[in-house]
Amino acid sequence: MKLCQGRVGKQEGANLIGIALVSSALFVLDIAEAYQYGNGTYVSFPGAILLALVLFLLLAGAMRASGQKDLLALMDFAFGKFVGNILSALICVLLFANAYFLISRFATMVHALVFMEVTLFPVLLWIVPVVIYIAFHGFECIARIAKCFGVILGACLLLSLLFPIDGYEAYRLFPLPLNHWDTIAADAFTGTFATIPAMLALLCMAQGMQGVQSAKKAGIIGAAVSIGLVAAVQVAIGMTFTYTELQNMFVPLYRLNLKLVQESYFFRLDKMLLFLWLIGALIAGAYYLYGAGFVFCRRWSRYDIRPAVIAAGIILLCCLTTEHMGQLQAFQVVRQYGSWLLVVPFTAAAAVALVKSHFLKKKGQTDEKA
Amino acid sequence: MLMLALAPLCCGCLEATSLDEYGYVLTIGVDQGEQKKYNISFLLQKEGDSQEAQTGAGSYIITAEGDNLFDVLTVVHVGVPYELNFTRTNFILLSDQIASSSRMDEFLSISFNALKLRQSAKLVIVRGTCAEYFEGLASADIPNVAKRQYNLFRTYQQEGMIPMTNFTTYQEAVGSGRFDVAIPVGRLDRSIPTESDGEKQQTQGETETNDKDTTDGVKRTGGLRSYIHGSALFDGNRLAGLLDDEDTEILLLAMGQFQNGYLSVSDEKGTVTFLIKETVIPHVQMSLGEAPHAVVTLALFAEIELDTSGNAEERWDSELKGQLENYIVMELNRVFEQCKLLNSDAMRFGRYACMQFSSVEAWRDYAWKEKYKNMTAEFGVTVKLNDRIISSHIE
Repeated sequence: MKLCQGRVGKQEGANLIGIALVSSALFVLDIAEAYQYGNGTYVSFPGAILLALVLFLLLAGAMRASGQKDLLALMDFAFGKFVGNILSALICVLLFANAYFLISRFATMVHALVFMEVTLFPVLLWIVPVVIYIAFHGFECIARIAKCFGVILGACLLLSLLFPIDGYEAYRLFPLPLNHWDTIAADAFTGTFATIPAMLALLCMAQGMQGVQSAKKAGIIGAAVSIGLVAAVQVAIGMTFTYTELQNMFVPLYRLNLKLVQESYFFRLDKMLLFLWLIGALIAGAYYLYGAGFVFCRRWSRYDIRPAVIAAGIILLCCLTTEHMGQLQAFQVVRQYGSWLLVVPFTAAAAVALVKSHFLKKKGQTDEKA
Repeated sequence: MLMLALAPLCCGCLEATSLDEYGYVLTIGVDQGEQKKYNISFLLQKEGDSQEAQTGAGSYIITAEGDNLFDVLTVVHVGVPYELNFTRTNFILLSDQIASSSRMDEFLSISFNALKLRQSAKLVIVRGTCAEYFEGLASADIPNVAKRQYNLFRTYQQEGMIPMTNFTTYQEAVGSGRFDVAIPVGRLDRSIPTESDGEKQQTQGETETNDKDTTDGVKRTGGLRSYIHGSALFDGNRLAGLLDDEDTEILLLAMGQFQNGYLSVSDEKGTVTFLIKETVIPHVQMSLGEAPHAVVTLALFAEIELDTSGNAEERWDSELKGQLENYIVMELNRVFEQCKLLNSDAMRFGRYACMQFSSVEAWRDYAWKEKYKNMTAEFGVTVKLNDRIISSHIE
C-alpha cells in the first residue's frame, strides 16, 4: 500500500495543525451570522478550537487505553467494521468539505480583492493545482512544508496586527455580548465543523506521526498556539470594526488598516499579506485533501493514494467552479449539521472504546487470576 | 515549497497592465449635476516621464456628468488614452450641496472594491463646487499634487487643526449610530489670482478683489487658491452645519484629537500667547438615563510662546492659569451646545455611552441619538505649564 505517509515529528505536526486550525477559524468561520448579537468571536472562534482539542484529547486517551494505533482502528474497535466504515466516510467527506470551504474562500478573496477583472476560473486554475501537487507528495511533504512556513506565517500574522495599532479603539468591542453567552457557546460548538476534522486527520495519520503520543503532543501545541493567535486576531478585528460593520464585511482581517487616516510604509502591505495567508491556505487545503484521500485509501484498501488525491483534487476543482449560491448552500448545510455529526459519534466512539477497554482489561485480569 | 515561495511574486501575472497605461486619480470630486445627478471631477497626477508633465502643469482635471460613478467613468474613458486607476486615490471631495442631501450616501454606496478604491480615502466637504476647488488646487508651481495632499496630513498630525475622517470612519458613524463625524471643509480664496489671471494682471495692472473672498477673512498672498479650514458637522449621513477654525480646535480638544495650537490671553498688563498641547485622551464619565450627563476632564499642557507683559510666569498660578482654564471650559460648553443644536454627536460621547450596555438589544433600544438631544455635559480643564525653562528662559 502506497499511502505516501512517511514519518514526521512533533514540530512538523504542531505547525501543520496550527496552520490548518488558524486558516479555518479565521477565514471559514468568519461570516456575518457570527456578529448577529454583538462581537463575541474572540471567544467563540478560539472556543471552537478548544472544543476540538478536548475531543482530540479524549480520542487520543481512548486510543492509548485501548491500544489502537490510529483513529480508524479505534472506530472499528468501538463500533465494529460497519459503523467504522460510516464514520470513516464521514471524516473523509468533512475533510474534503473543509478543503473546499477554505480554498473557495481564498479563491473568492483573491478574485474579489486582487484580480477582479478576470473570472473565478483562472484564479482557481492557479490555486487548486498547487494544492493537488502538494497533497500528491504525501503527508511528510505537507508537514515539512508546514514546518518551514509555520513560524513565518505566525510572525507575519502577528505583525499584521501591529501595523494598524493606531486604529484600535476599545469602545468598538462594546456592547459586550454578556447576555448572549449561550449564543457564543452555540457558535463555538457550530464552529467545530471547521476545527475538528484537522484534529481527527492527525489521529488518523498517527502512524506517520510516530505514534499516538507524538500526535497528541503535536495536536496540543498546535491547538494551543492557534487558540492564542485566533483570539488575538479576533480582538484586533473587534477593536477596529463594530459588530454592525462586521455584519457586512468580507474578510475583515484584510481590511484592518482601513481605519487609519495616516498612511505609513506598511499601509499597503495588505495584498502581500493576503498572498502569505494564501500560502497557509494552500498547505491547509493540501492537508485536508490528502487526509480525505488517506482515509479513503486506508479504509477501502486502495493500493496507491496518488490517484485518489488527483481524483479528489479534480472533484474539488469542479465543485469550486459551481456558482456562488451553490457554494453558500453547501456551506450552510455543513455548518448546520457538521458539528453534530462530528462531536456526537466521535465522543461516543471514545467513550465506548474506553469502557470496552476497561472491561477487556478487567476480563484479562480475571482470566489471568483464573 | 518553491512554488509556494514564488506564489507572492505572481501578484501581477493576471491582468498585467503597463504603468503608463494608467491615469492615476488622486482625488474624486462630487458636485450636483445639471443634466444628470452628479458632476464628477477627477484630479489626475501627470507622471514624471509623460509629455504633459514635461510641458505643462503637474496635474489635470477631467469632469463629466452621470447618475453614478460608473456612468461617469464610461464617459471619461472614451476621451482619454489610458485607464483611470483609483489605487492612489486619497481624497473624496463632496460639495456641501451634495453633503446636505441624500445623494452623498447614494454616491458613496458604490463598490469601492470594484474600482480598487481604498476605503481609507479621506473625505472633504467643499463649500461651493469641487470643480472650482480642483482648479484652485492644480498649479504648475506645485508639480506633485500628491505632495500637496500630504501637507494636509501634516496639518492634521503636527498641528491638529483639522479633523481627519476617512470613508470607513464615516461608514462606522452612519452604520453604528454611536457618534457623528466632523469632516474638514475645503474652501476657495478667490483673492488669490489663478495662473491665467496672474498673467492678465501683469499686462493689465492690479484688479480689485472682494474682501469676503479671502482665507477665512484674512488676506493672503501666494499659495494655492484652495485651502482647508474648519469642519463640517454631520447628523448621521447629512451635513448639519459648519464650524469655523477655532471652534474646530475646541471640538478636537473634546474629541482627544487635538495636537497643539496657539491661544492668547490679553489684559491690561499685556498679551501672553500660549502653545496648548493635548497629550492625554480626555477622561469621560457618563451617566445614562433620559437625559445623559457627561463629566469630561481634560489635562492640557501650555508653553509660553509670547509674553509682552514680561511676568507671565510669575502670574501663572495666581491669574493666568485660572483665566486660561475658564476660557477653555467656556469654549467647550459653547461648542458642545452648538453641536447639540445641530443634533451632531461630533464630540463622540456615544462611544462612552455604548460601553455601559451588556447587550446589543439594550443598546439599540436606548436609541442614543434621541437621548443625545437632552444630553448635558460638564467640562473640567487643568492646564499645566510645561517645562518653564525651555518655554520662557532659554533665550
